[in-house]
Amino acid sequence: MTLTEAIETLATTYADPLLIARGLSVDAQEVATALAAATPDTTEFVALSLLAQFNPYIAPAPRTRTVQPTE
Amino acid sequence: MAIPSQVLPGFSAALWLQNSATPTPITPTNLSVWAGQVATICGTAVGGTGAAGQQLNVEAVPAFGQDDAVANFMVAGSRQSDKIPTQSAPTSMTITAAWNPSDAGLLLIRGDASNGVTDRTFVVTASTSATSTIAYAFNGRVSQFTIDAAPGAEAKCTFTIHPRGNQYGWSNP
Repeated sequence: MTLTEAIETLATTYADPLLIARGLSVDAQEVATALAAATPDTTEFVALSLLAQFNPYIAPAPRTRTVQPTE
Repeated sequence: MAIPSQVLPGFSAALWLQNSATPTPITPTNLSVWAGQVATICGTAVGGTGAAGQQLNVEAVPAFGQDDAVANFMVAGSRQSDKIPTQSAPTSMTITAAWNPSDAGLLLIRGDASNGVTDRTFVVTASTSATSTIAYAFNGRVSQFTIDAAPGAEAKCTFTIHPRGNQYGWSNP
């Protein structure tokens, strides 16, 4: 399911939005990106906030390089 | 605007409803959206537009929220038992208003009670100014509309709004 379809589903349903959001399969990174760009007090923002609850995005830890000490 | 950061007086609460005879209630997700959604039901006095709603003149806005059931678990040997909230029902709101047979809002309520299956969006606002408002919007059905025409006082009507489960939201201008 695309993110747009998921938002449309949440915006139009009369069922429990939390229950619906729990069952929608979306890409967590896409949700996080869209939520960061969304305007508060909009349908999109509320729907994305619901989706983010069940699709938390955890950014991968930055790769570290181990430098061997030279003698 | 930001959410009001102050203790709000009880008398600042007001009740608003969609003013169509055959309303399309706001979807649960949009009940948390002020601009273009909840704002259309609330009047300008509380920061809304009032384009699709009106105030209902009630004596007082009753308590609203949720009525939780609690399960009490006991473990042998344990000093204390454990209370866990279980199923939760929205609080029904029994409201009294002065009975004016020409009041458009009360006529909508009377029609809804007669119909029994009309879903309508209601909004409870608590506000100290148009820029300091918090709104609790919910969808509900009306039942039990009665008129008390006691000869020694003004006629009053009483009705109950039963909020639909999981259909509520908070917003602010």
